[in-house]
Amino acid sequence: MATVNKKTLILTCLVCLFVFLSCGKKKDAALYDDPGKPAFGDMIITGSIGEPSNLIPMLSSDSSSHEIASYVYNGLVKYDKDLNIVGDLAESWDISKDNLSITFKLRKGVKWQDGKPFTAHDVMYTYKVTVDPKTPTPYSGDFKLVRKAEVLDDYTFKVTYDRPFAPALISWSVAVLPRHLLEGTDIATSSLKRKPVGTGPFVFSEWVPGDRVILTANPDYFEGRPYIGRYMMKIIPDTATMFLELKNNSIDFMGLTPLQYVKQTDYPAFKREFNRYKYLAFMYTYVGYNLRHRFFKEKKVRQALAHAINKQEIIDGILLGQGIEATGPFKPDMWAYNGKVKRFEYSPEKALALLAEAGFERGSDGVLRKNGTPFEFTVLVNQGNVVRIQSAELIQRRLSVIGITMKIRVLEWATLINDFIDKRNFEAVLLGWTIPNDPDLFDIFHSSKQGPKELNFTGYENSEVDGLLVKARHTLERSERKRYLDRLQELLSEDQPYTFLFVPYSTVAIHRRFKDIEPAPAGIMYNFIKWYVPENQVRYRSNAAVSP
Amino acid sequence: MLRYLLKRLFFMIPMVFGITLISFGVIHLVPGEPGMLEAEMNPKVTKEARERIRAFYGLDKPLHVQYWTWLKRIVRLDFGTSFATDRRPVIDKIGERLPITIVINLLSMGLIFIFGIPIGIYCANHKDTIMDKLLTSFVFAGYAVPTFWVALLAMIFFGVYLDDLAMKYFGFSLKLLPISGIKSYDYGDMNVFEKIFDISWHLILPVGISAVGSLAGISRYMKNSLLEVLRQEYITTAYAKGLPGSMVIRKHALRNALLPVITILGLSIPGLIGGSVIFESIFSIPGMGQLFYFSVMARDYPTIMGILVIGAFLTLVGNLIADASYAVADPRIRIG
Repeated sequence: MATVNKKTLILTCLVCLFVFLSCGKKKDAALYDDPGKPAFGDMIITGSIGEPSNLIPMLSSDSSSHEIASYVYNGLVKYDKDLNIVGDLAESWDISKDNLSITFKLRKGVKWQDGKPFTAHDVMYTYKVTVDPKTPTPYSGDFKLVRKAEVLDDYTFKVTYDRPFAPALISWSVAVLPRHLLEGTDIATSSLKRKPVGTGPFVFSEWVPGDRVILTANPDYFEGRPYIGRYMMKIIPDTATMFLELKNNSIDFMGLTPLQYVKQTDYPAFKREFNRYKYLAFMYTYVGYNLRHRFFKEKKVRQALAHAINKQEIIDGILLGQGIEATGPFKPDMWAYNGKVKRFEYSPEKALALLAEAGFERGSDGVLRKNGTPFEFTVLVNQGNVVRIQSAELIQRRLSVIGITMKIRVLEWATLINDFIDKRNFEAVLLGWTIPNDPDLFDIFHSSKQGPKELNFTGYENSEVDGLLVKARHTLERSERKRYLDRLQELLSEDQPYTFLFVPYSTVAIHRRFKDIEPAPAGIMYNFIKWYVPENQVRYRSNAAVSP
Repeated sequence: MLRYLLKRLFFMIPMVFGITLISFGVIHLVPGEPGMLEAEMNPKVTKEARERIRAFYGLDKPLHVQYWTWLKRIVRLDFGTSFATDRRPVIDKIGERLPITIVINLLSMGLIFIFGIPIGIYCANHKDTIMDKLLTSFVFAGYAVPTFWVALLAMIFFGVYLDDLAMKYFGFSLKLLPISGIKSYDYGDMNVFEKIFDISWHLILPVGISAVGSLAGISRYMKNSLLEVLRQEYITTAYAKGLPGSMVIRKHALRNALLPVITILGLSIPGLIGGSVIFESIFSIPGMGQLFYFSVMARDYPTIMGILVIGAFLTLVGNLIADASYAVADPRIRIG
């Protein structure tokens, strides 16, 4: 009896093994060195930690919804790889002499994915539904500044503003929605939120809740059919699991942490299958000071802290070299960046000298005091962001060298925002800002933006900065706008309302069969429709080019 | 008996009410609001837009009003509409995810009983032997180490490590078990048998690992309860009249010793539901636990409440069934 069982067991094991071995034939790795010729087909599988929530992008605020929507929809304009504004659904545009109105000439012959023609009425509908108070969208701000929107004919659309508004043009990069499917319905409950219909390079195909979203190439896309036949987003809530799926070749594309990029993927078996890319991320990390604090309201103290913090050490030690020092709110590959601002190199001596000027004295115990009060403060960091927490630890050590005690308090994101930042109940925070493509900083640094829930939460007030922010915002001519922004960056560097720490690199791994990927200031996705897999390297053949 | 059951059912009503009241209060105490978490600190989101969204969800009303609105709906079994931006009925969201969670929990419960009870019996019969100590250490280790850690180790071993080894020494790819998910990428093209095979293949790791953590409880219960019974005088009698050892255990001891184990069945439901949240997130299984995780992260109050109500209901029903079957199995407490 027992022997029979054992035999069956062994036999079953062998059969299973054979089944798995036979499915696991691997392609010769050298094959991927061959750039081949562009061909249609194959599928790219990406991982996402969150499930999309609503595929009408103006109704959702999560990044996976926006990612899917970006493949399905188009705006009137978009950024090219060097962050210049170019036409998307708009062929061209004219800006009136008084800089108050923009007239868009739309592409002719563009079709919605259900076959209906795209016209200016769709743009008009998108504008109207965005500003409609009944629409639960968080993104109506820019469109509310429009005084008048007009459809001049089927392919001409004109908007007029009360004042020249520099970010106006790029605000029309939002997804244009199909009027014929939405008008007269309640957009909040429309079926398009789960089955989008756009004009974009990919057509929505399937959404298995909690599991995956699948798109297929749009053969009639106006810029040409994308080479990659299918796109699959797999929902993998745990980042460790996702990394294993990458190493296992089950997903083709994933953003890496510095540790994963530098160490955990640096072995031959991985490099045989994947290429790794990096480009400057659109974000910077900073220490923001509550400028109502009795120490931090003095500029010299903030400048001293900038000298006392060793930024390069943070980049080398925590980002493992995958970042550059930030000198202000922009990154070097943007036209708005001013590289000539005052830099605060690491120097404890200069820091101490500045602090002495500000009235601090070092006691025999090494502690800095002003009028008997020791220099102590708490920095708040959000939970789960290891890079920020570790950066805070390095800063803590550097400050202790010159006699400043910095405590670190790690808080859950919503608690940090609602109970501390919104109530201005903090001394310092270590956070990051997204760098906007359009260099408008009004909401973050203008002194009028200190109300509840507004973003100048450090309480920064500089009347010259206020003036420059307003001027830059209402100037469309780039070189003139740049003059204002340059001066603005000089003042921010001088005032140091934040200690700007670093701009990290975005680091990604993509399977080597995908060709024609070229990192640029805009990132890597700008030419996604041109990525291709040569015929001899295709991995997923089934259904590759079948539309739903 | 019937009276007893009715009484129990009746008392469940204030219990569920109390649970919802506390849950509702607690989730609203957590900072952050639906639809806004990812929009925090976004310059493109204006204050007016924020107020508009709060009003849209009814969050501008006082808490007791919000609870009353919710309660009025729930007594009609209307779970409301999700606060996630997909605005779908909560019942649909839960409904499409509940089956896989139940299947996994039933399977792992089955595994726990199939392995836990024999381990317990073996340990009771071979008390203080090396094997007893080894088994006890094993089940306790499974209980003590965090499930997510064991899960990651297993995923690395079956998904990456074996594959790398096979590649290195034999030159082929060996994907013994999938790392996460419940369906392969080409699931849509499979026939029925392939689909069943595909899903079973994906379920091996999650079911196996969720079972390992719970073996300790059931096997210890089994062992102790059996030891207790073996000390009884009627067991001595059975031996004295010359019955063989296996017969004594099977016919006399085991039947009585299994009674307390039934109780565990009912009591283990909350643990299983809680565990689903963790391992469904790790293994990317689109079940109710994962939905709960996403909903909490998004502060999707109606969905959270829906899952809590269903969880509370299942727990209470589990307890009731356990008590009832206990009464059926044991004549001694049937009257009480």
